[in-house]
Order: sequence, then C-alpha cells, then structure tokens
Amino acid sequence: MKLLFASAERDLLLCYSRLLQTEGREVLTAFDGPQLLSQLSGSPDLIIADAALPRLDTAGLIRFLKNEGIRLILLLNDKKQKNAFRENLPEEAFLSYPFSPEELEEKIRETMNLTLGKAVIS
Amino acid sequence: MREVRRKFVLYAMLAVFILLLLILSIINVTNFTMAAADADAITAMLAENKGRFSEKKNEAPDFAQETPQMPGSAGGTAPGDFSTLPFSPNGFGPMGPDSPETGFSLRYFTVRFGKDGDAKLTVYQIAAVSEEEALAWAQSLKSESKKNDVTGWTHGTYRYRCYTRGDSVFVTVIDEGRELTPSYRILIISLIGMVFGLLISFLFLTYISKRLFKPLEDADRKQRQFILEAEKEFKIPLTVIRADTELIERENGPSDYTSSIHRQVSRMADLNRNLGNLALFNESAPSENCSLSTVFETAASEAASALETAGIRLTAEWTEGITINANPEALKRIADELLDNIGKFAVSDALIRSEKHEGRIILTVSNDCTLPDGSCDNVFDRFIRLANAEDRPGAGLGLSFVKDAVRQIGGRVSAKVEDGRFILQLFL
Repeated sequence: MKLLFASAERDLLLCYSRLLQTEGREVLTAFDGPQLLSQLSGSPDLIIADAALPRLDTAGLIRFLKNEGIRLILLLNDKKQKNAFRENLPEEAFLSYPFSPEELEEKIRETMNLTLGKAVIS
Repeated sequence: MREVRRKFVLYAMLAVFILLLLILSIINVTNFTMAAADADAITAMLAENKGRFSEKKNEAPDFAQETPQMPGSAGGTAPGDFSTLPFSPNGFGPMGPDSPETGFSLRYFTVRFGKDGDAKLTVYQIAAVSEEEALAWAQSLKSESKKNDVTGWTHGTYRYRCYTRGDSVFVTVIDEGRELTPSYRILIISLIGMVFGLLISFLFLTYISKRLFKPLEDADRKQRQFILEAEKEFKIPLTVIRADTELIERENGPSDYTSSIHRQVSRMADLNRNLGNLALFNESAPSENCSLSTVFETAASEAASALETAGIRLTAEWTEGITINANPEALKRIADELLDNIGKFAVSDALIRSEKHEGRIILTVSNDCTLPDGSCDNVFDRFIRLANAEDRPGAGLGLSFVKDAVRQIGGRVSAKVEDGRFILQLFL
C-alpha cells in the first residue's frame, strides 16, 4: 500500500513516516500544499493530511480527491475544522489530535475497508 | 463573569434597599411617634380638666398687651422662662396644647363614666362621630383599658386617653386626622421616593457594573482564548511524543521507561482536553435546540472503536423527540466526557438512557465498576479521582466540566454507586 502523509510539523512527519513504513507500506511525505499536489503523481492509495496544511485549499483538495476516487484521512486540531468539511467527508475520514499510532492504524484500516465510493464521497 | 456581575448588582441593590428601608422606617416611625406624642400631650392637658379645655387656655392672648419676649432679654421675662415663647419647648408651635387656638380647632369628645357605670357625653366638639357612636366607642375603650391613664389609637386616626378622676372614669377621644395627614403624605412620598431611588440605583449599578467588570470580562476572555490556543498547541507535540515512543519501542523493545512515557502522555492529553473544555465552557455561548439522542449518538460513534478495543459493550435507550436548548458544542463535549469516562472506568458494559419525567429530561449513564456502594457526588469536584482511577489516565477534570456545563443550562447532576454500577444522572 502507498500512503501520502502530509503535515507542516517536521517532527510529526519524521516519526509517522517511519511508523507507517511497516507491513510493506511505502510512505510519501509532504509538508505543504504544493508538495502534496506534486506527490499525487505517485498515485497514493491513501492520503493522511493535516486539515490546516500551509498553502493548501483543503476544500479544493477534497473535491479533487472525490473526483479521483482517492481515500483521505483528515487530521484535525480543532473540532470546528470538522464542521467546515463535514459535508464532503464521512465521519470516518476525521482524526483529531492528539492521536496514538494505534488510533491512526485503526483509522487506516477503517478507511481502507470502506467501499471506494463511500471513502471520499459522502 | 456575567453571573458575577449579576450577583454584584443584586447584592448592591439589596444593600440599597435595606438602607433606604431603614432611613424610611426611622423617618416615618419617628414621625408617627411624634404625632402620637403630640396627641397624648393634648389629651393629658384635657385630662387635667376632666376632658375639657380650661377657660383660661381657651382665651386668645392680647398681643397688644402681652408681647412675647425672648427669655433673658431686656425687659423680658427671667432666664429659663419659656412661657411667653410662640413655640413651647416641646416644639408644638402655635397649634400645640399651650396654644390658645387649640381649643377652637380641636375636634374631640369626652365621655364620663360614673360610679354606677352610666356614661355621659360631657364634651362633644366633633362632627364626624355621632353621639351614639361616641358613647359606644368610649364604652369599648373603657372595657379594653385595664390600667389607669391608658392612651392609644382607635378607629384609624383618633387618639384616646382613658383616665380616672375622683370616682369617675373619663375617656377622651381626639380626631388627629388633619394632624396625621402630613405624616401620611410624608410616608407616601418617602415610599415613592424609595421606589424611584431603587430604580435609579438599579440603572446606575447596571451601567457602572458593565464598566467595572469590562476589564475583568476582557481578562477572562483573553485567558480562555489563551488556554484554548495553548490546548491546540499542545496537541501536536503530544502526538509526536507518542509516535516517537512507539518507534523507540519498535526498535528497542518496550521498557518501563517507555511505558511510563505512554502513561504520562495519556495523562497530559487528558488534562489538555479537559482544560480546553473548561475554557470553552463559556456562559455567553449561543444556545439552540439540540436533539439529545443525535448529539450522544454522534459522540458514541466516535468513541465506538475505543470502547470496542476496551471490550465495553455500550447500550443506548433513547426516548425519541427529546430536545434541549443548549450550546451544541458544550453538549457535545458533555457527551464526549461521559463516553470517555465509560471507556476508562467501565469493566464490560455501559448503558445510556434518556427519559422525560415531570417535565424534566433525565439522562442516565451507568457502567459496571469495582467501586463500593455509596454516594460519590464529590466526583464532580476538580482533580478528584475515585479509587478505581489510580492506574487510569485522567486528571479528574472531566466530570467537573460536566457539572459546570449542566448547571449552566439549568440542570443538576448526581452520582452514586449501587449494586456494582456507577450511576451518573443528569437532570436537564
């Protein structure tokens, strides 16, 4: 499986890129919007991105991924962020800070087990 | 802070009310007491002459012959002799008992009761009371007076004196209605003044309290904002520490130290979340009608995987159609806290039930536990953790937030352990 992990926090990027590189996963990383978009050419199966990634139109990204059929997990620092994206993402697509590695793994399993149509399209 | 300001205005108004009432009482009680004393002086004077004015006192003074002099003045009377003053020492003025006008202006009657008890109207200088009424009043007053020389009020504004002279008992009743009119006017005016005073005080206190409390409200708002911002800032570092600890364990194997880091990170995450809850809990947050079941079902779905991991079976029994007027964010956080509590402390099963009883919504959250039976309302105090919380994460702030939030929407909470179940009830 190929994952794309995007966060402006370098330390978070560092530890989770290592953690996620288990069980044969390939992990791409991005620390801002333009880099995330450029990494999309790597065709990730799942994108895990911070909802407040710098220089990224998150709503636009969600619409784009919906059209492309790419699964997304949105990392939230503030529950108010959820309200902004709730219309276009299912409840399962949100994960709030602070989360544990186990919680992220559980969320990845949930998201990947969803049918492609439901994962991004509400 | 709004609640504090409201209490400030309330207590200040109470103080103003008590002060005004005290002043009013002193003025009016003194006024009426003095009126009674004035009347008693007149009835005492009448009593000296068996219920009538003496001939001498009824004479008008000849001011051409007798010019009142100040005591001790040249050509005047001896020092200390106040008899020629226009005002007598007790301040009665020209219409006092010593005034020659009193006999002409006073409306009164006197009834004499002989040895055999027969009543005779000896003085009848009044129009408002008929002779029959006068005799009846006097009879009644004589019967009520157990001692000699008794005074009192009767029939509203009439002052009486019941006294003995020789073998006869006299009852003299004077009409003080005209004299009391200014006193009643003062009473009414002072009451109206008190109401206006209270109204003006209320308006002033409301205005001044806004200005007084504004710096405090601003500081409180900034403090909450700071705590909320700090709460957000802590989240990512906690996530990183957890992930790094996990990496260390994967590379080097778990140890007591990494386990300790996990525990402390969980504790800090819990504390961080609760601090955010307490800061978010804002008395001026907008309220709206929320469906209780929807809010809790959303929270339950978010907590589902954590509960499943912990092996806890959650059952929900909802009474449909229950809505509550509350801030949705606060209600959601209450639900999150209660479910988090279940996740931490339930052994194997938990129940959430909503019902309506006598117009109140009762939300019951219960779970099996290892605590002994008994009340545990202190669990709502800050930083209080029960015996079964020793090895569980948390700082003891979650239920404190729940209590404050429920109180803010006019409800109350209770907690007890019964038959091995921890039962929390929210009365909304």
